[in-house]
Amino acid sequence: MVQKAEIIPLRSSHRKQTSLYQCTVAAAVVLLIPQVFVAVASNYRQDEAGAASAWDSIFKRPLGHAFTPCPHASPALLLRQMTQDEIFTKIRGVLVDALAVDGDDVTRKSVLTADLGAESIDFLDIVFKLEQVFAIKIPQGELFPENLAQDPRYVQSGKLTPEGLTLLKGRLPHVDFSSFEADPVLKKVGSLFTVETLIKFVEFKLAKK
Amino acid sequence: MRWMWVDRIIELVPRERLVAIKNISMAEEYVHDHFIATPVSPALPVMPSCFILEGMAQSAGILVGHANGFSEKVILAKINKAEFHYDAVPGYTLRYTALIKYLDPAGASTTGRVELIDPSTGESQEIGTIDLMFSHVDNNMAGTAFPKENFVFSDSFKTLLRTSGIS
Repeated sequence: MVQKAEIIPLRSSHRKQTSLYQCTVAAAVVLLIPQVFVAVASNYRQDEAGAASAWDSIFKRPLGHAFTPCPHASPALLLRQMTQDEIFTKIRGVLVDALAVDGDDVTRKSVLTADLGAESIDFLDIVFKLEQVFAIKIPQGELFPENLAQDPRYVQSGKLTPEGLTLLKGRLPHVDFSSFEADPVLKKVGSLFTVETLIKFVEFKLAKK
Repeated sequence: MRWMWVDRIIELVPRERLVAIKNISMAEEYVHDHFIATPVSPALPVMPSCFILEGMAQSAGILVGHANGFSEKVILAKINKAEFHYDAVPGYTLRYTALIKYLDPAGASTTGRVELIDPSTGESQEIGTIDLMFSHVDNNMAGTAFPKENFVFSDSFKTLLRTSGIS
């Protein structure tokens, strides 16, 4: 007669002893999780004394960040998580803050200068805010061209030369030049920069990174 | 000492924070006109908010300039926000706390808090917040050339730094 195997319930004395390291890790996770929830819920607000928010105290980010995605999220993760509509929503928030315009006035086709009243210093502010919101680095001149008008190779009689147009296209792959090419007047360069341009640029930067 | 709206820098953490003070005096000329007595109301000496703004701009500008060893010409380019909730009056001390939000070769973005301190009690009250943007004008987008010497940080600023103990 075959004996049935006896099933012995696992008692605490039979378990492998939990190591001190495992206890420490478990304790750290249990203690950290509530703080993370508090930090997220506090939404980076400063307390009355002006001290850093709970988020800042944990991750030691500089004060005053309007929004910072999880510092450990990879750009690929951000790209997968963000659709064009989501990118547009965040960019609209940036433009409302930088240009003091109404959110309803910001559409994908809005021209930054003509429709939203952006000036040269606003471009710098927009770059700063995009870097913060999307956790990307935008080197000087990458989003908005610089020093173009000073070089006679690229601008003559107030118009871009073919060389200048080629240079601009190379520097700004995120911009649609189709309507500008027919009459490349320098003063109209500003009309190239629409909200759609910013959306494509952010997509480009996130994918590149 | 012309157009200096900061009396002393009391704290400087490079590339991060600067705290400066300005004592408001009844002897300052603008106080006599702001506000002058009228047939229906007595004189009301109040420091105009634009001068409080200038004090913050100078404080934050020094912080940004110090970040690059005063090699850049730091120009106030934009006032993102300026909110004032209370008046600043003679006999009190203003304390400016300027923080760098963002700094790069093109310029910087700062946020600041203005407090009014009662010297008789030591109590302070926040009276405003000011967010500014500065441009490193030599790196301007248009490529415009400026004089080589740093005309921004003049002798007055150098004296302020020296008397505050900042090299």
